[in-house]
This record gives sequence, C-alpha cells and structure tokens, in this order.
Amino acid sequence: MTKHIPIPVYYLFSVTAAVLIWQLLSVTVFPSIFFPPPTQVAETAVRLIENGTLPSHIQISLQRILLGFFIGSLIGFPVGLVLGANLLVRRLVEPFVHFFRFVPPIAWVSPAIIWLGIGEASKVALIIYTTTFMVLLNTLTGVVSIDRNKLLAARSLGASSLQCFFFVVFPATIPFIFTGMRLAMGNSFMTVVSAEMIAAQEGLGYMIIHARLFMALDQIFVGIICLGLLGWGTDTVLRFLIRRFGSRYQPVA
Amino acid sequence: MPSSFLHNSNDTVLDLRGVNKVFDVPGRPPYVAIEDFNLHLAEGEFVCLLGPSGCGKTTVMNMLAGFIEPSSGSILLDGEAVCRPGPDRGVIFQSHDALFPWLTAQENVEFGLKMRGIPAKVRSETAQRFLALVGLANEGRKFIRELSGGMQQRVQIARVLANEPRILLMDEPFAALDAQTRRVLQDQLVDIWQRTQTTICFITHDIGEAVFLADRVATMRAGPASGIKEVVEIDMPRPRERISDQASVYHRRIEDVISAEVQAALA
Ligand SMILES: Nc1ncnc2c1ncn2[C@@H]1O[C@H](COP(=O)(O)OP(=O)(O)OP(=O)(O)O)[C@@H](O)[C@H]1O
Ligand SMILES: [Mg+2]
Repeated sequence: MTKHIPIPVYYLFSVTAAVLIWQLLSVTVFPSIFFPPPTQVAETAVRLIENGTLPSHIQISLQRILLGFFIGSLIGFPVGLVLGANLLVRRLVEPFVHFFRFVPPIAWVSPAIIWLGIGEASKVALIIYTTTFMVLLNTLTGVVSIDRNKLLAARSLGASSLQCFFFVVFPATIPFIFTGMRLAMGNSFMTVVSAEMIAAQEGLGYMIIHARLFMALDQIFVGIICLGLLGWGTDTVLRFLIRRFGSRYQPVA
Repeated sequence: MPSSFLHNSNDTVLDLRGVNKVFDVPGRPPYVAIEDFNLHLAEGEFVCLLGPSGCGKTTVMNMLAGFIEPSSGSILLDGEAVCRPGPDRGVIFQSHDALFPWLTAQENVEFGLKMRGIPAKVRSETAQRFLALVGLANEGRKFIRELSGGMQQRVQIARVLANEPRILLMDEPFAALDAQTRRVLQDQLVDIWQRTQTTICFITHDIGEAVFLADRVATMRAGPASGIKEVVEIDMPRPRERISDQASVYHRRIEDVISAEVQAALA
C-alpha cells in the first residue's frame, strides 16, 4: 500500500508539518524575540546568503571537514589494518588507542592552537585526529573479527601471508572501514564547530557563537539548520559513493 | 573404479602413522584428543571418516590440511611430510563462511589460480570449466550471497578442484543442507570423483552417507585418545542405491561398530 509513494514525499510531509507547528507556536503560544518563527529565520538566511557571509562560512567549514576527513581516513585505515594484522604492533600501540579514544578533540583545541596557530592547520588537525581514531578503531575491529575459516581457506588455496593480507583481510574489512568513515564524518562536524566556536574568525561554528553576542537567535538557527543539512548531505553522498563503488563488499550503508 | 586394485600400497596418496594430538589448555591438564591414529588413502580412493561427535574428526582434518601440527607421528602426502596448508590438499569447509563474499562465484573459483600468478585468461577458462563440472556454469557472475546453500558448497568444491589437488578433504560438507539437496550433492560428488579420479577423505557422522559414498569407511573411537577403531570396506557396485539389502547390511555393521562409541561419547 505504501509502495507507490516515493520516500521524499514522506520527508516533505513531516518536515512541512514540523515547520508549520514551529511557525504556529512561535506566533501564538510563545511569541518572543528569543523564539523566532521559521519565516524570520528564512528571511535572515536569505539576507546572509545575499551578503555572502553564509556561503563563505559554509565553504570554510566544509573545506576544513573534508580535508581533515580525507587525511584522517587515509591515515586511519592502513594503520588499523596493520594494527589488526600484527599482534606485536597491536600490543605496543593499544595503550595509546585506548587512552586517546576517550579524549575528545575539543580537549585538544588549546594545544592545537598554541602549536599550530589560529589558522586552518589547527582545525584540520583536530578533524584528522577524530577521523583517524574512528576509522582506525573500526578497521581494527574488522580485521579482528574476520572469519578464521576465510584465512584458513586462503592459506590452503595457496595464498602467502602477504596475499592473505591483501586479498582476504583487506576486502573483508572494507565494510567496517566504510562504517568508520560515516561515523567519522559525524564526528568531524562536531569537532569543526567546537573548534570554530573557541578560536576562529570564520566558519559556521564562529557564525553561531558570534550571533550569541547579539542574542541573534535567528542567525543561530540558520547556522544549526545549515549544519544539519550539510551533515545529512555529506552522509548521503558518502553512502551513495559506498554503494556505487563498494557494493560487492556488502556495506551496511 | 576398481578400488581393490588401487589398494596397492605403492600408490598411497596420504599416509598417517602413529599420529597423536595433545591440546595444551592453560590451567587444565593437557587433553589427548588423538592417539596412535593410523590410516592410508590410496590413489583415487574415497574414504569416509566416521565417528561420534567430539571424537576428533575435525582435529584430524586440521592436521591433514596443515592448519595444526600433530604432537607426534607422521602425516605424509605422496611421501612428503605435511607441515603447512597448501593447494595440494583441497579443503572444503562445513560452512560457507570460508567463501569470499566480496567475490563472485567465478572469482572465488579463480582465487587459488590467481594466488599462483596464473594469467587471467587461463584462470577464467579453468574456473568456467570447474563451475560447469559442479553444475554452476550459469551462476559464475553471481555473488556468494545470491546462491543457495547447496550452490555455495558446490562453489567451494569447484574452488579447490581448480587447484587440481592431490586429495579433497571434506569436513561434513553437506551437514548443514536439507535432505533433498544433500542427496543431490552426494550424487554430484560421486560423479565428480569418478570423472576427476581425485582421492577424497570425507568426514561425516551420517552412516547412510558414508555407506553411499565411500570405498572404505574408517570408524573412530570416542574421545579422548581417539583413533581408528575399524575400517569397513564397502564392496558395492556403482552407481549405488541408497536403500538396498546390501546397503542395510553395511549400515547395520557400521552401526554396531560405532554404537558403543556413541554411547561412550554421550556418557
Ligand atoms: N584447540 C583446541 N584446544 C583444546 N581442545 C580442543 C581443541 N580443538 C579440539 N579440541 C577437543 O578435541 C576434541 C575433538 O574435537 P573435534 O572438533 O576434532 O571433534 P569432531 O569429531 O570434529 O566433533 P564434531 O562431530 O562435533 O564436529 C574435543 O573434545 C574438543 O574439545
Ligand atoms: Mg567437527
């Protein structure tokens, strides 16, 4: 019965309903400058787009996220593979993994700025940090949970240890790497906003914290909505890419 | 297949002599799983290893495959000691988790050839030939998850056959299948065996299966310290009937041999 209605129609319906309720509440029940209606938020958004500030904040934040995410993934997945496949290295590195994974990137904001300056490097470094851990841990889990029979089968089919690594361990771990990357993308958004709130002159986090000075809730709402939409958007793109190029690895995307 | 002729010890493919396996478990006394295990497999022979659950069949298989080492004794393949896994022994696992789900059926069959650096074209032709041999000529492009349980086991068989092994080692390969599919695969296995003339060591706990398939049925004692109890030669012409007077005589005879062991295992 629900088969013939495309999914976006459901989305459109529930989102429209939510916006309408918001509008209703903000003009009837809680009329206040601290609870701007969607119409006002939309006006602000248009104004911020027209004067060019919003696009540039978005661009800056997105740049930081994508760069850090890309580098972090590139570091996290080979390191995770090696840690998973080599018990000696794993034992040596394990304490650091267990320790740092409970230290959130925001705790590193000040050292990052002191060491790397207030520019791009510090923010990108924090995103690299969080992405590396997320991808590394998931990759490691993937390597460790690989079916023993697959490795035995590969060995008895004539694969060397190195071939086992490249032709069995690596492909078997890919779904875990994908999952790690999607989680890392979420973390990257949180990290960039926290970093920009503490020390930045640009970016969505800066825009939100800056608006606080003027109690400009409409502008804050614009920032929040942008974050949500951008996050959803990047995850959708990531999922599309995973399904498009990684379907044989049975990703959970 | 004139199996009595092949029992000549000159063409022994696999030879287990005085094999012992002791598992050292930390904090517990060592567990003697296999003690003084002796068995010879002649060229082209189909031998079933039959025994109660937990007697050590998989342990023997793991030693033959080179996945674990015997504690003492010798395992010789064509006169050479087995010490590591290798493509000369085709291992077929009970469950399909030994297949590679990120590869198609054909790519799975090509795996061993690829590891040995065989060119892609030869690989592909060989794989297609063996897929056809197991009746999967048209399923090569499918991924493992798109195949039924019976098809998956046939991919496993094709995958090891493509390596042209000296012997097939099969650990309860059909145990997880429904009765109908199991019968189909048993028929196919006999057919493949007759066509390729490969030596087969087939583990099962199903007497009917053993009587239908084997030239000889090697029964094992209950563990611990399990070994061969008795080897029963199945002297029935092929193609065989599953149900026949002769088959039930063998069935009864093997049942007598192992019923005491099954009780010991459950005790
Ligand atoms: N790695 C191990 N460490 C300790 N004990 C082991 C190990 N592997 C097997 N055993 C023991 O050896 C005995 C034989 O196990 P094995 O798996 O070979 O039995 P099996 O005949 O294959 O049983 P089944 O018919 O249930 O598959 C069992 O008692 C088992 O607990
Ligand atoms: Mg077993």
